[in-house]
Amino acid sequence: MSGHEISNMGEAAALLEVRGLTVDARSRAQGRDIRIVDGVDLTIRAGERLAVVGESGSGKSITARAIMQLDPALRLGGSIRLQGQELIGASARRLRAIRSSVVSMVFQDPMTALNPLMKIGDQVAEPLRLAGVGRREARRRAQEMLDRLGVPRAAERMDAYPHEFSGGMRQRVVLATAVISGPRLLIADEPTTALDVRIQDQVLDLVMMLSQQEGMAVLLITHDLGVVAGFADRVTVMYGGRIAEQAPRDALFASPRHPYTRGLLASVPRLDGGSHDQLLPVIPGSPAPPARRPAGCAFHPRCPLAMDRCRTEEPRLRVVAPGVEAACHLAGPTITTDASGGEVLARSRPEEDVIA
Amino acid sequence: MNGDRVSLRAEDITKSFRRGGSTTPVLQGVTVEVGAGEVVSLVGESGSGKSTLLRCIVGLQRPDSGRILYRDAEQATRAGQAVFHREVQIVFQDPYSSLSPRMTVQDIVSEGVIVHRLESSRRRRLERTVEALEQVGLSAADLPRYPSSFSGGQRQRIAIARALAVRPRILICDEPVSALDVSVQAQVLNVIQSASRNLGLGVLFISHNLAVVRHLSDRVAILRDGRIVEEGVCDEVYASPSHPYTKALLAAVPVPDPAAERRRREARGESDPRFAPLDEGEER
Amino acid sequence: MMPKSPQATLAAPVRDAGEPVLALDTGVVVMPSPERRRRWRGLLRRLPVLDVVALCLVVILLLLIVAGPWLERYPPNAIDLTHALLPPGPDHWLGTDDYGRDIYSRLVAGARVTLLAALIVVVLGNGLGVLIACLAAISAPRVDQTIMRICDIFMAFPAMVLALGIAAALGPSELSLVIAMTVSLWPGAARLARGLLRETMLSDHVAAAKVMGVGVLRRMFRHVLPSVMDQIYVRAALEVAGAIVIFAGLAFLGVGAQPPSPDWGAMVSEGREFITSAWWIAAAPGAMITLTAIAFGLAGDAIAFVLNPAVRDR
Repeated sequence: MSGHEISNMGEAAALLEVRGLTVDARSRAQGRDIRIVDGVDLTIRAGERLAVVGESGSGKSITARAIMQLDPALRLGGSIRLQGQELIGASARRLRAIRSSVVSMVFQDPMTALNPLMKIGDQVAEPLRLAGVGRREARRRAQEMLDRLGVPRAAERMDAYPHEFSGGMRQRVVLATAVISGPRLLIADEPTTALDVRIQDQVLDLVMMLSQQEGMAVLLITHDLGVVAGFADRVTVMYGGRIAEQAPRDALFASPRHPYTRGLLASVPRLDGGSHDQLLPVIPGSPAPPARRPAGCAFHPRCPLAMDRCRTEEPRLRVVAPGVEAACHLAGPTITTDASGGEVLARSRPEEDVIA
Repeated sequence: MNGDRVSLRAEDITKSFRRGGSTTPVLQGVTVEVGAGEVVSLVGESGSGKSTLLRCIVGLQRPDSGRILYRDAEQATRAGQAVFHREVQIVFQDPYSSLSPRMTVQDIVSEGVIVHRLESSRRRRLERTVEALEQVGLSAADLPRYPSSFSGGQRQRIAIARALAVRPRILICDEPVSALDVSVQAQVLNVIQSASRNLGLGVLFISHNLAVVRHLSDRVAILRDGRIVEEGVCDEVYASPSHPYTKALLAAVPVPDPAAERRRREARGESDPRFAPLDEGEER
Repeated sequence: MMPKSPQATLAAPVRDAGEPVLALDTGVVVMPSPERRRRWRGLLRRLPVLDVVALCLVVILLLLIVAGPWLERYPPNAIDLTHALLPPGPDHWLGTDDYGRDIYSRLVAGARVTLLAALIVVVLGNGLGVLIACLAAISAPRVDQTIMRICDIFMAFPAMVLALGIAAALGPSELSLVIAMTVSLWPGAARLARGLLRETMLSDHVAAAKVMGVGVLRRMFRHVLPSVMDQIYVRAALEVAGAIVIFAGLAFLGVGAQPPSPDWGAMVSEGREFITSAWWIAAAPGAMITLTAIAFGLAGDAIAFVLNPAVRDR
């Protein structure tokens, strides 16, 4: 049995189980399919908050959108099970039934997420109306939700239009629309990136509050490690369409196993950062677009610890510590065979001096 | 006029926008100064007026009142302007629109040298262009290529090379890393920091990212609703902010450390996060 | 990261397959030839097939203009009544008309008349329009508005009507037609270009140039205009088709190219009375007009693509 399966035994059935997810898109310029997401395994349990961290080309947004089955033009492979039901290949009817009531999504730009011609009260109430709730009742619950999310004078603002609201307020309206049907899982794709820092703080707090009060699981996609540290229970780091590392929050920050994670943590300027006489540690190069991913480990061209093996052999995601998985040839502990065929414990910790 | 002290000073800048019948004040008596070799950051959220201030400083917009002084010379005069255009350079926020798409890297980076007639021979112009590219970590091989074949971080570095080619004294950076991937931001920040240290450039760094500002700056000014609410030595302001707005900003910045995050949230107080006091301007 | 000495790098220019070559004395940097050829070939492969076919057709048509005299089999105006109204055959690939003139040769010669005139008119019209648009874009708002109003006035006249009017005033000749068509084309180009120019002028790279101290004219012609030309090329290509049809139409009406000029439109007109008996007289030039119109129409996108140096780089 793989380590992955060992760690899963004895736990309650997961809310969301993604296994071997692959996403391909047809590129006209290249004349072939391009693999954007290359074998992703994710598990989210009820009420859990998972942060997915990655940059451009990592496939994090596409993964989230695949869960919602938003892009019919993309070819999906593998399995996505929500509450035990397979989503890939599910009928449009089934998808409609689960969207909003079981799983819901919030996007980055609050300016374009709302219909500019529809009153916000109607927009928030819409998911309920689609589910058959009567007008009066839907409106009442919409107002209640807006109030709960801190929209001042909710009763009056119900009839206002999106352009009358600031960015932070709009995001609250978007949030209200997304959670009003009581979904078990909320997917939030960079929901605060476009917002000022104080508003970001508030919106994240609101999501946290909803998560705790409703037992709603959250899949938060972000590039901001500070947000991750404050919000997430578990963290998945994606790079080049694959998972680089997955760990509980504290473990990830205390001892990151993957060189990419360590590079990120080292190179991000921090508020409590040290002296600013020194240059920042840097990960050289930049993330490759999906069409130009290197062979072997996706990160090897930028990795200071790259070995020959990394150029040719793609590292599998393995358990390297309780609850911690990493896809790196150097991360351990693991049992391998040495040249003589005997079993050897590989190194248990990656190098300390990672980034120059 | 004492021309020895190299500094850029925006003094008492005021600007309002008129639309229809109403007048919206955007900047109200803002004063900012950058001297050679120091990094001064201007921190502002959206709506603070920082973009307008930037445009006023570089001459893309004219303020209603106030003056822009460079080397103590007011920028209204032609002669003053020529020096200004050469010695004060700017790096914009969006790397995808700040480089002319139809010009080669060579054309882009050498344009300043050509326009200001800084080198007499083509050979020396080329050498200077290559020098600028190398200062930002690119190379002569990039000269005939077009911006579209470069990544965001590389494009920002090209933009910086364009600025460095004319050997400026002051570099203004408008959110230069906000549009870049996280793993690339450090590269560009290092380039800016090196340029300041090694070339003695004064840098005016405009940003909303408090962590980046802290890392880079000697002095900082906090801009809010068109006014400077606090300014001073960066480390001091961050360690003990006096204005409530500054305190609120600092308290809202997430830190990539779970324990620190817990402390930050506790310190932020018991107040219901939904109703944390914001101002009229935001709670529309 | 200290500034490196330029000498160290330039002394030994790297010369891999794809590396650029620095020519120090002239300050020019070029990609070596094999690299350039490879890029051009890769370029064509990235276009949809239809566009490439259209592009080839356009090239052939342009060749007709240039190599015309060598491609004609008979003098286009040579009358030979003994061989009149012959159907297409080995001696006369597209038959002969009622004067015994070889249709194929007249078609080829006609390219130098109709197509050339259309190309000239489109280039002049769009060129003039773009220049005027540049002027408007850098002028004060009042001047800008005035220029645009003048554009609107001109655009109110349909091309045909304007052409007829000017031809009537200047006397029917090919020159007056060219002038008339140019006058009718420039406002449309100017309107489009001015909008695009104004929009581009707001972008960051133009602001960067302004801050650098680049003057207004250089900004316009090096930074703003090149970004706008793509759309102008596409529009111009489409207009070639339109111009040919209008020239043909005017010749059909008897204005413009006078007999015995092998203008394609005039040929269609002359072939009218023989539609049932000697259909090839009208059909051949008619097909030519259609084919040219389609070729240029489809090739517009491809032309813009090929002329964009930034695209060649990928």
